[in-house]
Amino acid sequence: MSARTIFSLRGVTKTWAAPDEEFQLSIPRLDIKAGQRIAVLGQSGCGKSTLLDILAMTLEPTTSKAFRFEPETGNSTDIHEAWSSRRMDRLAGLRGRHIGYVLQTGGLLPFITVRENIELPRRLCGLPVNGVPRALAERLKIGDQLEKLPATLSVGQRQRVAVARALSHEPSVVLADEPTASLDPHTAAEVMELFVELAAQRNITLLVASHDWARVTELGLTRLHHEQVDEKGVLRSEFHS
Amino acid sequence: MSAPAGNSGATASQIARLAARDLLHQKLASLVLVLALAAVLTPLLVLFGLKFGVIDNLARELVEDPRNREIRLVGHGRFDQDWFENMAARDEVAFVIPRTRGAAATIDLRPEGPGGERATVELIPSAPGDPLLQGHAKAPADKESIVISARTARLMGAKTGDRVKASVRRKRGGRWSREQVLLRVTGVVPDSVFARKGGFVSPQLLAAIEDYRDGYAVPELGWGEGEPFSGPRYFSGFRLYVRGLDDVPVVRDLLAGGGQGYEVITQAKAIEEVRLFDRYLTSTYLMIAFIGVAGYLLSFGASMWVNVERKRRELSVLQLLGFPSSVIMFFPMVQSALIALCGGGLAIVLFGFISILINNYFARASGQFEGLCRLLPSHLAFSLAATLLCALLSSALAAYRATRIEPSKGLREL
Repeated sequence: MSARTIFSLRGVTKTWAAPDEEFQLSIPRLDIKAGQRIAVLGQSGCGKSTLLDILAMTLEPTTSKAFRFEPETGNSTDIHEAWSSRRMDRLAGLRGRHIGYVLQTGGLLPFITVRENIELPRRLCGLPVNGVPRALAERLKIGDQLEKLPATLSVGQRQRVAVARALSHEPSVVLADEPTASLDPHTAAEVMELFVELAAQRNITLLVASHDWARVTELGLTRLHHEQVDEKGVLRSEFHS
Repeated sequence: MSAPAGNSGATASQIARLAARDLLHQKLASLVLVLALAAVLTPLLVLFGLKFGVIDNLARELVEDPRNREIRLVGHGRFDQDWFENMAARDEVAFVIPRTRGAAATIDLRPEGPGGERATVELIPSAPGDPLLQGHAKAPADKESIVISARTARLMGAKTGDRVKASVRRKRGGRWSREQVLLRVTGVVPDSVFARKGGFVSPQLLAAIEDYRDGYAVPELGWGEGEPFSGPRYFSGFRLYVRGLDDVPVVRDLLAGGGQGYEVITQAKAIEEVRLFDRYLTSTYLMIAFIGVAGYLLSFGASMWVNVERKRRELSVLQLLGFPSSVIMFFPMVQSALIALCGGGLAIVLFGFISILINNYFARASGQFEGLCRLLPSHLAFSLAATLLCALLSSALAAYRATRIEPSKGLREL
C-alpha cells in the first residue's frame, strides 16, 4: 500500500453555538493514507456528517492549523489556505475530480435519468463515458433501471445509483454518510458489501460513517478513534487517527 | 474567480442543458410561471398598444389634418402676385394659393355622356402640393382638370377619368350668354375632406371664369367677345396652410399685425386645448404605466427569486458534485431566461389577438381608426428585452446568494 497521506488535518475544529450549550467537533490530528478503508463510528449527532463534510470540502472549519489534500502523488493542495482565500471554485474543482460522496438519502438530480445521473461526474471531469456507468450499474444490480427517472426507483435502488455515481469518475476518495441507514437490513448488507468491494477493487480510499459497529468490522474497515467529552458546557466530539 | 479543472465552457453548457431538462421535468410549475408572466405582461402591452394607437394617433392626426394648419381670411382683401410669392417663400408656409371672389367661384357641371344630373358646385383653387388633396386625389395641374367632391360625384354619376362639361353664364349689356369647357376628372375626394358640392380647379381656370363674368373675353378658352383682361391682377383671398401646428400663431400674427391688419380665423385655440388634453392624458397614462411596469418587474423578479429558493437543494447537489459556483449560477439564470422568453412570447401572441379584436370592434363601430391598439416590432422587442433583463438580474442575484453558502448547508438544512 502506498505511503501517501491523502488527508492530513491538524487542529481542525467546527463549533456550533446552540442556545443552551455549545457543540464542538474537534480533529486534533488525522492522517488518512491512500487506499485505507475507514469506518467513522458513533451515535447520531456526534459529528460524523460534519467530519465527512469537512473532508469533502463542502463545509468550512471554524479553525484549522493545517489541512492538506493529496489525491495523487505530488499533487497536494493546502485546503486551509484555499478556504481562507475563498477559492471556492478551486475546492469545487478538487471535489469534482477526486471525491465521490454518497449521502444518507437523495442527492440524485430528479430531472435526469439514472444513467445521466451516473454519467454526470464523468462528464464534469471531461472523461469519456465508455460504458463505465453501465458496468457499475450492472454490478449494483440496477442495470435495468438506467433509463428511468430517480423518482420511479425504490429507496434501495436510489442508494445503489448514488453509490454508482460516487464511483463513476474513478475518484481517489469516496465519502459515504450512513449510505444504507434508510434501507432494510438485508438490502443494507448487500449494498454495503458491494460498495466496499467495488471501492477495494479500484483501490479507492473510503470513509464510511456508520452506527453499525458489527457490520463494518465484518467488512474489514478500520475504525476511526472517537471520544466524546463534556467540558464546562461544551460538548466536544473528538476524532483522530 | 479561478477557473475550475476542466473546460469551463463545456461545464456551462452542461449546466444550461440540465437547467432546461429541469424545466421540462417540472412541466406544471414551469407552465404556471410562464402563464403568470403572460397574465401580467399582456394587459400592460394592451395598455401600451392603446396609448400608442389612440393618443399618438390622435396627436398625429391633429398635426396631419391640414384643416388644423389652415389660416383663413375673414372677409376679403387685395393681394397681388408679389404677396403670394413672399408668403410662399416663408419657411412656416407649406402651401398658399390665390382665391378669387366668392360670387364668381361657382360653375355648372354636367356629365359629358347621357345620364346623371347637373350640379352647381363651388370652386376651390388648388394646385400640386395642396395639403387637402394629399393622399386622396391628384391635384389639378392645368386649366382642363378638376377634382370633385364625393357628393358631386354621386350626384353626377361621375368618377375619376371621366369628362365633365362645365358651363359658366354671364349677363353683359342686358343679355345672358353661356360658355363651356370640357374638364377631365383627375380625382374624387371623400366627404371627410369636402362635404359640400365642390370642385378643385387650377387658379388659372378660376381667373378665366372671373374674367369672363367681369365681361372680358378669354381667348385661350375661346370664350366671349370683347377685350381680354390685362394689367396687374389682384385676388380677394387665399388658401394658406402652415407647415406645423407651432407655425399657426406665427403666421396668424404676421397677417394680423405688421401693417397688414387682416383678420384671420385659425384652429389655434382648439389645437391648444387638444394638446393640453393630450398632455394630461399622456401623463396620467405614464403614471399608470409606471405603476404597472414596476409591479410587473417586481412580481416577476420575486417569482424568479422564489424559483431559485425552490432549487436550493438541486443547486447544492451540483455544488457537491463539484460544479463551480460561478457556473451553477447559470442554472437558475437559464431557467429564468427561458421562462421570460416563453412568457414574453406568449404575451406578445395574446396581445396580437387582443389588438385584432379591439381594432375590429372599433373599426366596425366607428370606421375611423385603423390602428386603435397597436405596437411596433421595436416596442415588442423592447418589452421582451426588459423582461429578459429583469429575469436574469433577479435570478443572478438569488443564485449568487444561494451558491455562496457552503454546499453542505443547502443539502442538510432542507
